[in-house]
Amino acid sequence: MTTNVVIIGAGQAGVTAALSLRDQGWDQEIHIIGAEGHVPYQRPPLSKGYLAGTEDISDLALCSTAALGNQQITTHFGVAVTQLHREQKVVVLDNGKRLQYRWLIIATGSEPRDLMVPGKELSGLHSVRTVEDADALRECFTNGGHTVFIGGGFLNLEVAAEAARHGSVTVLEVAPQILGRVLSRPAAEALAKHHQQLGVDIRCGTSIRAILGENNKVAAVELEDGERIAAARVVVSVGATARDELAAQAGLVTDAGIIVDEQLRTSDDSIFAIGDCAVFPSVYADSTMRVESVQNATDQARHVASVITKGSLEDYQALPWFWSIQGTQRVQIAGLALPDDDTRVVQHDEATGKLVVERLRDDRLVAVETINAPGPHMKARKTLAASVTHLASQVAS
Amino acid sequence: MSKITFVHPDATEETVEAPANQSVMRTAILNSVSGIVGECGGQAMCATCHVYVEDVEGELPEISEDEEEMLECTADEQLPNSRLGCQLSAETHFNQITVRLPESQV
Ligand SMILES: Cc1cc2nc3c(=O)[nH]c(=O)nc-3n(C[C@H](O)[C@H](O)[C@H](O)COP(=O)(O)OP(=O)(O)OC[C@H]3O[C@@H](n4cnc5c(N)ncnc54)[C@H](O)[C@@H]3O)c2cc1C
Ligand code: FES
Repeated sequence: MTTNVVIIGAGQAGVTAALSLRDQGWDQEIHIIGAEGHVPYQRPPLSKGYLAGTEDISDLALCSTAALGNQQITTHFGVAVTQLHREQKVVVLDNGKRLQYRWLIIATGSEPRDLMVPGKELSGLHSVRTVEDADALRECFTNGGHTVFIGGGFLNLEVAAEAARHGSVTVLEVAPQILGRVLSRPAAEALAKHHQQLGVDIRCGTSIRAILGENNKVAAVELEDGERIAAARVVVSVGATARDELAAQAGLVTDAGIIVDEQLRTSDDSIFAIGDCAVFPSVYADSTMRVESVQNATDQARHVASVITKGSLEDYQALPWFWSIQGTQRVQIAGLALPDDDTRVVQHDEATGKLVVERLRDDRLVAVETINAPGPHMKARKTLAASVTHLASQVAS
Repeated sequence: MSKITFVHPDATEETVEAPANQSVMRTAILNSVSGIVGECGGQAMCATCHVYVEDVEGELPEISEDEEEMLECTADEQLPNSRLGCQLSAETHFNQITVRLPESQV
């Protein structure tokens, strides 16, 4: 029987898994398959430095092809996996190759959620997930004109700050505040204020009826109340959906993502799922969840590498953390807050924009949100990681 | 081109060349030098590119307040010669540098 590890998806999670397996001493074959034709790259700069032109494609690389070669990792790039046969433990690639596995790691990521309104097929509609998406936006921003953003989440707001350097910008958010699901009110308000200073017009509580076109090209966005906002282009970011089709077709349990257990194993013992595509039980949320962040992708990758190489029986419990760069504001979140958790502002300096907000659940600290305050963020990560270990051992006993 | 020597915790050394403006962190990643993670891609947001500068030919930038705050919380202890590898760029800051890698970054 083969001893291969096969990894589907060569993004942040898949590549980290391959490198961590070697790092942790796995000496059998490793194959990594990635549908994108590029050297594996990081996505965060696509809405930040790469979009602004301060970073180029080589700054995005997660590794080099030579580096993977040195580590004896076999790459299949520009190739997609089209089938998974679990009985034979085989994956089939679109170039006709078949690869046998002992362990399979699915790291297929996520994709932008479709906007369910008329006009979504028009040209001039954008979203940012790949290098090509960022290139397309970078090019059309230089034409100036008005950009309308649908969705007031981290990603769209990062892009909006860049768009505001080239032309006028409106952000439409259906909820009463931007970043409502992911940030406390004081932190979200501080960022809204910063965006307004950059010239971004944020309109909350606004729903969209349709996107209107002329000659198959976006011309305006129509709101529920009939108002029309002219647009040279529209950027949509209304969340992402897990790429779980392959897993579902193979009969693995999925539900808006691939369901895994505490060790990140799917309903098939030989198959793991990690990163944006995995739904896992989180001790921080007291429920199952899917997380889209670099931390989640890399920590889950390292966890699975240690399960495979060392037979580790530990549960995945890494502390979630996240960062975003909004204009000049550096946002960091340590831990995980739910929308109903309490909020306590512990530091706010208007001049520097420095803000530290604690989030509490039943008087227990569960997350710390900071703006322009890396020190408090790092300290919070240590405190929160220690407290969850403590909590877990209490539960166990 | 600048030269970067990485000294691993087990004292083995690797020397690689870095083109102008390429950071110590990125050079490690592109050359598969293990021991540097660089999760935030060089934004001074993650502190997983911690190095100890043992020797340098050139002039390193002052440690900014942000970098200092990150260094206070690295996985391995902060020493007087601790730096974030993503903040040190070839040619701009050094012609030759020797950095020792910590035992762990996360
Ligand atoms: C624009 C943008 C900005 C972001 N900014 C931040 C940030 O500031 N901070 C942060 O923490 N996170 C950020 N994120 C989120 C972070 O980048 C993702 O969580 C991370 O990339 C997830 O890694 P992954 O490997 O799970 O998925 P991905 O990186 O998406 O990789 C999955 C790969 O699998 C490939 N694939 C899928 N199906 C197949 C198949 N059948 N066969 C072969 N290959 C396949 C895909 O083509 C893709 O390349 C950002 C994301 C985006 C898009
Ligand atoms: S790479 Fe993240 S702090 Fe240097």
